[in-house]
Amino acid sequence: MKRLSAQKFAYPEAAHLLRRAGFSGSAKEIQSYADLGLELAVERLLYTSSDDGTEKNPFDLEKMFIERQNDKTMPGATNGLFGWWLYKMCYTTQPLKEKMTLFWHGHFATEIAKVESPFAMKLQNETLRTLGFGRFETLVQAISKDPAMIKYLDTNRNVKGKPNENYARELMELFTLGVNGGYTEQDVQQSARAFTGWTFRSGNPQKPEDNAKYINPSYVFDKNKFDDGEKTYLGQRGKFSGEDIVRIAVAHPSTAKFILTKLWNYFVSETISETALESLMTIWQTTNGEISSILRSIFTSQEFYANKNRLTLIKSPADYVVSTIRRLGYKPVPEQCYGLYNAMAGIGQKLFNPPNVKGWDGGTTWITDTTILSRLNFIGGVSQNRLPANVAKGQAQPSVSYQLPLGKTVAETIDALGILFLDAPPESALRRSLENYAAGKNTVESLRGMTYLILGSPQYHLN
Amino acid sequence: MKRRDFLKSSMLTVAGLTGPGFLARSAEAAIGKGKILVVIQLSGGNDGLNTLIPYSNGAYYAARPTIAIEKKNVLTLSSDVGLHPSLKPLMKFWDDGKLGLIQGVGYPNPNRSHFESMAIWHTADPSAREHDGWIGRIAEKYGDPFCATNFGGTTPLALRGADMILPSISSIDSFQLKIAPEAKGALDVMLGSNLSGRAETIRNATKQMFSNIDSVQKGVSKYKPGAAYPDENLAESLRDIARLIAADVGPRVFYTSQGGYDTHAGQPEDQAALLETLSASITAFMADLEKQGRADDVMIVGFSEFGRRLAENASAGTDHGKASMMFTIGNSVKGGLYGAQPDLEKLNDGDPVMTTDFRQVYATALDGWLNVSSRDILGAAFKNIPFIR
Repeated sequence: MKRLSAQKFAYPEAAHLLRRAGFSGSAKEIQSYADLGLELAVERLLYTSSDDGTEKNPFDLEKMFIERQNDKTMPGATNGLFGWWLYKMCYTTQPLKEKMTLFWHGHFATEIAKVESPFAMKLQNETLRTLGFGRFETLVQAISKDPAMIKYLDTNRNVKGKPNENYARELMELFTLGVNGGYTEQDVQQSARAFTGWTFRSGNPQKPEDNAKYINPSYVFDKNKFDDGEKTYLGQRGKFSGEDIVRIAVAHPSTAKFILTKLWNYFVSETISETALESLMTIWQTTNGEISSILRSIFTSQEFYANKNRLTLIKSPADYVVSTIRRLGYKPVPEQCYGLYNAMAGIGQKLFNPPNVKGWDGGTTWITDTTILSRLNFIGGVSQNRLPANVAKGQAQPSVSYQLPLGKTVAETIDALGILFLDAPPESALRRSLENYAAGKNTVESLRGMTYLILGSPQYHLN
Repeated sequence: MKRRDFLKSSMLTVAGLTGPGFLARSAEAAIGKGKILVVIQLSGGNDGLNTLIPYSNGAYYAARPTIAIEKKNVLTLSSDVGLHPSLKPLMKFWDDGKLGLIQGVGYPNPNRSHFESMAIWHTADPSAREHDGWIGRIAEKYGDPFCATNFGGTTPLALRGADMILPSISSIDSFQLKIAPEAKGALDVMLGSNLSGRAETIRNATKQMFSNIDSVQKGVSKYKPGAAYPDENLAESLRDIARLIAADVGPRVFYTSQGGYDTHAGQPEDQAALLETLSASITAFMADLEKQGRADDVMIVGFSEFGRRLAENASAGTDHGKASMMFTIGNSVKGGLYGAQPDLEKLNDGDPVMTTDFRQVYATALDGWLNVSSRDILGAAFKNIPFIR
C-alpha cells in the first residue's frame, strides 16, 4: 500500500484518523494530532501505558461487590463493570487502545449473561487491552485460557473421553480461520480433545468465604482430565496440547486473511482490495502477526485517507455515544457513566453482552427503527444539556456542564457547530436547513435546535 | 441463581433512553387476506429429543442416563412419543386438535454451527448460496417493506431482502420521539434533500421510522390486553404482537425469538425453564387473541436451528446435533403428528437423521396460509404437509 505523503496530513486527516482510530475529540485535540504530523500522530495512538488519564477510575469492582453483598440496594460489581469501561472510553488519553479493546471484545465475544462474573469479564477485558496490539497468537493463547471464555464456551465441561466441542469449533469458525477457512468436522472433534482439562478457579458469589476466589478467577489445568493421545489437526498429526492447536490454527493462511479483512472492515471500509490485503499479508508474515504493525500500516496508508473512505462507515453505538461526549470535552460523573452504558445498549450495543459468540455484525445492521429512534432521543437530550444518568430513588440528576458554541452571528454559530460535531463547517442542504430553522435568530434556543438538527442529520451517523 | 435473575438484579432502573420501535404497514399488502403467521425462533439449538420425547424407545434412555425424561413424566401423545412436562399448557391445544408437531425436521448435509445452520433456516437454502431471508423475499415479491416485523434487538437474516431490511422493534410503548414539534418539523425538512452512499441509507431509514411512529401509535392506542402474560421477554414480545394484530395496523408475518437453548451443560433445569416460558407465553397470546377476536387469523410456527446429539455429554448437557422437531399452533391447524420420527438406531455421526425437509413446512405456511406461492419464495416446489385445515 502506498503511504500518505506527510504534507497531506492536516486537520481534516487528523479528524478522520481520530474518528476511526479513536472516538473523535474536541477541535483542540484534533489540532494537536494534526500538529504532530502523520508519523507521530499514528505513533501517539499506538503508544500505550497505564497513565492514560483513567487512573482515577471511580468504579472499584471489589468494593462494589462487597457493598452489594451487605446491601442489596447497592449497584454491585456488574454495574460497576459497565461504568468502569464507559469511564475509560470517555476519559482515556489513549483512545486507540479502547477502540482496539472494543474490536477484540466483538471478536472474542463473551456474554456476562452466561459467564455470570463481572470479575472474569473485567479480567478478559484487561487481557484484550494489554495484548491487543501485540502478536495475534499471544492474544489467542491468552484468550483460550481466559476464565470468562472458558466458562462462555464450555471449555471447563470438556473432559477426556467426553469432549465438548464448543470452544474448539468457535476457535476456528470465529476466532482464527473463519467459517470458510478450510477446516472439517473432524478438525473440530480432534482439537476439542486437546482442550480437555482446561478449566478455571472461581468461587460462589453467594458465599462470603469464597470472595477471594470469586474476585480473582484464574486458569487451571486439570491433568487428569486431559486427553494426551494423538490428534490429527489441519493436516498435522501429533500428541497435541491446546497450545499446539492454537499455534497451528493461527499459523493457517486463512487466519491472517480473516483477521486482516476484519480489521480493515472495522477501521477503513466495508470492502478490502486485493492489493491492500496482499500488502497487509506481507506485514503479517514478516512480523509474525503483530497487530501494531498492521495498524501502523493502515493508518499511514493513502487508501485509509482516500475520500472514498471518509464518512462512509456507520458509527457503532459506542462510537456514536462516546464520540458525542468526547467532542463536547465533557467528563461524565459515575451516574452518567451508567446512563451512557444504557444509552448505548438502547442503541443496540450492550457492552459485555454481545448478541452471541459472533459479536456485533456492524455496518447497516446497526440501523433499525428502534436504534435510529434511540439515537435521536439520545442526542435530543444532548442538545438540551441533558445526559442520561442512573440515580437512586429520590436523588437529583447530576448537573451537566458543557457549553454549546454560540457565535456572534447565525453563520458563526453554524460554522462552530459544524466543526464541533462534523469536523467541518456545514455545507449545501444541511446548511440551508440550519439557516431556515434559525431564521436569523442567534439565541440559546435556536442554538439548541440547530444542535439537534446537526446531530440528527444522516451525516452524524457516519465516521 | 438463574441467569435471568442475575441480570434483573444487577441492572439499575434506567431513566428514559431504552428506546424501541418498529414499522407498521402504510398500505394493505396484497398477501394473506387477513391471515397472520407468527414465527417463533428457539435460538441455540433446542433439544428436540427432550421436547418431543420418543419415550418408548430404549435407545433414547440408553444414550441419556442422566437427562432423559422419565416415562412417567412424559405427556403422552401417542404410543411412541410425548411432550416434555413443562409443555403442559400446550396440551389444551393438543386436546382441541390445534397443535401440530412435525418430527425429524432438518435439511440435507446438516451443519452443526449455530450461525451456519441458522443462516440455512433463515435463507431456506441448505447450499448456503442465498444471501437474503425467506421472509425478506416475501417483502420483495410484493414490494412491501411492511409485510413483516421482527420483535427483538436486531433484524434476523430471515427478514433481510436483497434491497430491503425489514423492521425490528423491541416494544411499542417506548416507540416515540422525544423532541419539540418545531425541531421535528425542521428535521423533516432537512431529511427532504437527497444524499448519497450510507448517508442516503440513513436518511431513508430515518424518514421511514418517523412515518411508522405515527401510524403505529394511532393504531394501538385502543388495545386492552385480554390475558395475563408472564413476566418474560418472549411474552412481552407476543403481547406487543397481539396488540398490533388487534389494531390491524401490523404486518402479515411476525417474528420473535427466545434464546438460551444451547444447553451444553445443566440441560434439565435450563430447558425445563425455557419450555415453561414458551408454553405459558403462547397460551397467554392465544387467549388474548381469542378476546381480541383475531384468534382464527393467526398461526404460530416454531423452530430451532438444529437439534442436539442423541447421547448426553459429561456435563448433563448435549452438544450440537442435526434433525429436530417443529411445532405449529392455531385454530386452523389440524392437530397431530407429522413426519416420521428419526430411527435412533441409525444415526449420522451420533445425530438423528432428518425425515422431513424444513422447507416443506415453510411451503405449507406460504401456500396454505399466507397464500404466497412457495415456489417463488423457496426457488423450488416442496411437498406440503397437511397440517392446515
